[in-house]
Amino acid sequence: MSTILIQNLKKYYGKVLASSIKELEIKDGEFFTLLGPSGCGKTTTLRMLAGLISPDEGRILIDDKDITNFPPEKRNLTMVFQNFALFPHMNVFDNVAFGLRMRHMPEREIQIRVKEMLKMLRIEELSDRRIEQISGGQQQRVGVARAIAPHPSVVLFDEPLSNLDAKLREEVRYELKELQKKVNITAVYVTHDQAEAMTLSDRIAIMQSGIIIQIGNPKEVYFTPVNAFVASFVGGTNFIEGEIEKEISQDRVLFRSIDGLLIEARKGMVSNYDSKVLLVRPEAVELKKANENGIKGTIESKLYLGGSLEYRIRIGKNSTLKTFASSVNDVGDVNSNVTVFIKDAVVIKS
Amino acid sequence: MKPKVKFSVALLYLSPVIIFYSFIFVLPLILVFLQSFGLYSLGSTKPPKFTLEYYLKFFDLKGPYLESLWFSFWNSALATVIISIISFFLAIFFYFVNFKGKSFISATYKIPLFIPYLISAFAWWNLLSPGGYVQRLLAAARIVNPNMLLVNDPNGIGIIVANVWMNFPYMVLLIIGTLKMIDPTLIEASRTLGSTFWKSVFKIVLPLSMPGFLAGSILSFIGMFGAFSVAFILGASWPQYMSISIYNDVTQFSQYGMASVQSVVYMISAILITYLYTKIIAKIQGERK
Amino acid sequence: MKRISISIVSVAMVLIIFFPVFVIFEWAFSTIWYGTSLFPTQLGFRSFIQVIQAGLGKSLILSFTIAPLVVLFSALISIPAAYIIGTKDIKSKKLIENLFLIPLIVPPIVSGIGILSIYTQLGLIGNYMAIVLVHMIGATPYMFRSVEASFESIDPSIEEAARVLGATRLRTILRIYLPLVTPGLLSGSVFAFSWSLNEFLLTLLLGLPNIVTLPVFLYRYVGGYYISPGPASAISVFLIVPSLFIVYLMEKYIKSEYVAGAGIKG
Repeated sequence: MSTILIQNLKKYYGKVLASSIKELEIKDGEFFTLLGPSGCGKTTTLRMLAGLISPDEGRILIDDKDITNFPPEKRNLTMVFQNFALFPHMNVFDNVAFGLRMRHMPEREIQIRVKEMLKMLRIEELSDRRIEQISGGQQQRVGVARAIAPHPSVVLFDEPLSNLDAKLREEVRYELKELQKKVNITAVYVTHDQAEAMTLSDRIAIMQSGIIIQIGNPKEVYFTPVNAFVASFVGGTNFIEGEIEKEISQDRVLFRSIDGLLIEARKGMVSNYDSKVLLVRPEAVELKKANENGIKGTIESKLYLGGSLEYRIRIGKNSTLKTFASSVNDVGDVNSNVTVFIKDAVVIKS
Repeated sequence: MKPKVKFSVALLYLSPVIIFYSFIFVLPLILVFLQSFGLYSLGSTKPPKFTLEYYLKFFDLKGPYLESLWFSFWNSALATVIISIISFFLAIFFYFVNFKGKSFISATYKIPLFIPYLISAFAWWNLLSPGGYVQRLLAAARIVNPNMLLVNDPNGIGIIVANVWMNFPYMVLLIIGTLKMIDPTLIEASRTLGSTFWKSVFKIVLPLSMPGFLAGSILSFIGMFGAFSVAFILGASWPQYMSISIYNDVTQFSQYGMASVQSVVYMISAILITYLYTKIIAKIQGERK
Repeated sequence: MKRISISIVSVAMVLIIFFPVFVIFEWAFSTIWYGTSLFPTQLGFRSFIQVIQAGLGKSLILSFTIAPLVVLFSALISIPAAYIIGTKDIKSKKLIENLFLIPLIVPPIVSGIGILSIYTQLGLIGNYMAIVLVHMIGATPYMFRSVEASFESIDPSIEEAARVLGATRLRTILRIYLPLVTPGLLSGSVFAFSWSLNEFLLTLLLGLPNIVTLPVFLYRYVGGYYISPGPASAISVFLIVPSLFIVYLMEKYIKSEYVAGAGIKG
């Protein structure tokens, strides 16, 4: 386990800035995720960490040692690849043993360590199999075992679950997290899947167009996103335009919507100069029958999704809110009135 | 899915090729085969009569023919090995390294492919014969004895050098082709697991590219084995490549019987070697599974 | 370290490739060169004049008219075969593909002496078209493999679509497939052309005295017991210069890695 420090790291592809990170510290034993859409620079950053690409500027330090100019084989970090990258001409055992053999570990110790890894990943019985004989999910585990076996200080993950089918992805996700905690290795994980990021990470860095927009733990990023991009990337959104009317306390404000509605909300991370918008997550909208005390709204549309219903509620000339309810809690038909309760809202940059 | 077609239907489309080769290739081979047993006269006026005398003469252990066959084999095999090693390193070089002027160098190494064999052979005859530039250089650097013959010599040194020069571009292209089929993330994975670039080349790239490369190199080897022009210019009067021996028997000595026996054995050797080669490759691949 | 090795390899490569070429040019342009001296004593065009007067023009014409014919005819017989093998699933496919390699495996001298007998009896020695046929022996396998690889890569449903729209098989081949297999045809043509230009032994055996292609013409000055480097080099220059031109052109516009690769099945 190790700490990573990135300083002023920049990579250009031609004239385009593919990745630019001013300062990033990843703590010992942390599960750190780079999250963002394709082309945001997360993979470029990861590959610079691995030493597979050279940065144009900046430094990378692992445990205070400057490894910026070290080739991959001297960095003591390993990588789990999206396409697994298992060596097809070796069996499972030899694949997992590869990193150990490169470090000239005595064969007897290799035997012990590899068995230990296979056991941990629950693939002991696959030891002699050839790579083409095992399934995708199994190949994934071999890839992870291979990466962890040589006691690396950091393990990098390049969208490791993208090539697995959805159901498998969920299963493996959970196991990956358990494994990381058990082995206590610093992990840097790249994905475009917000569910993966949210469930696995200690902290997430959301990237867009080569830079980090926000870093925080999953809860922070979800509940207090810095802008609309981050908000949309990690969850469902409703945006209400308007302005802060006044501050109620250090972190709570009164928000006046463009239609004149007053809504109490958390202040979030905005400053006075930013253009602002109110974020209300769909799950934070509660609907009750029309005669209650609260915001008056009209059901504009209702979509039947099987187990749930998706409502669009109009609460003002320029404001609608999307929300879900379970099918058994139907509050009414289109054009009927409802009372809307906003259980949580936060002000964000637009 | 490609539609299934019966062989009899395919025959129609294959007929032009089949007819062509039957007359221009199969028929001549049959005649040569018959002549080797004395049953046909390629050129002499001798009436056909079955005989094994030519074969007996060929397999005479004290005779020149087996030696000629052996020379053809080991000389081209050695050239193939040298070509393979050089080409492998060059292919790695061209595939993985980028540098200024790469385009020029990339074009340059292909030049031998476009120069007719006879001319290449002649050029190397020039360079390696006594007084030639390369011969002088090697003698001055004391790599070879100044009196040692590098062309028309009993070891076929000139033949090997010219063969290497003419054939290595083909092998480089072939190996690059196999390198392209290897998933690049395999090498990345190998490096993140602690292996240097060259270790990755030998532990990952080489084993994976080997089958494709071996399969392609057989044609190169057989081509040199059965070739005429290079041995003609650079070979000594003894030992001879079998192609030269056959040629002389036909054009100079009118020994059609021996010429045809040599031809039959020559041909069968080539086919046998190819067959064994492919079987061995298949076995290596089979063992991997 | 890396930069030094790159330089060493590049310089060595250029030297090794160009040294033979250089020495040929030296001889071609020399009029007096004593065996003991490093460089020619006198330069001039004498060798060129000599070979031109001896019939270089005729040889050039012969070589460069035979080669395209070889390309054409080997394409004509290869295309139907490549079509049926490449686009359909046939039981003995592997076998047929391997059979095509046999003309490349059997040493040319072997078939050569057989053909010598046949041609002598048919009076075809020195016959132009007869030589074209002989060149096709080695050219056709390359053409076939190249074109077949192209056919293989085409989606079979394209033919189904064409047939369903009313095209006969012949029409399908001509109007749909041929344009699509052009890369294979091109690369096969390069190999076939080169093979024909290069062909020496069979032309020597069967072409004299009429068909003196460039290699046979060259042989006059390098064969036998006495080698005349001057005229031989002059002839070589005629072939090397266009070759150099083609090589650098190809590298610029066509990735010749693909050209060579197309002829080789994985």
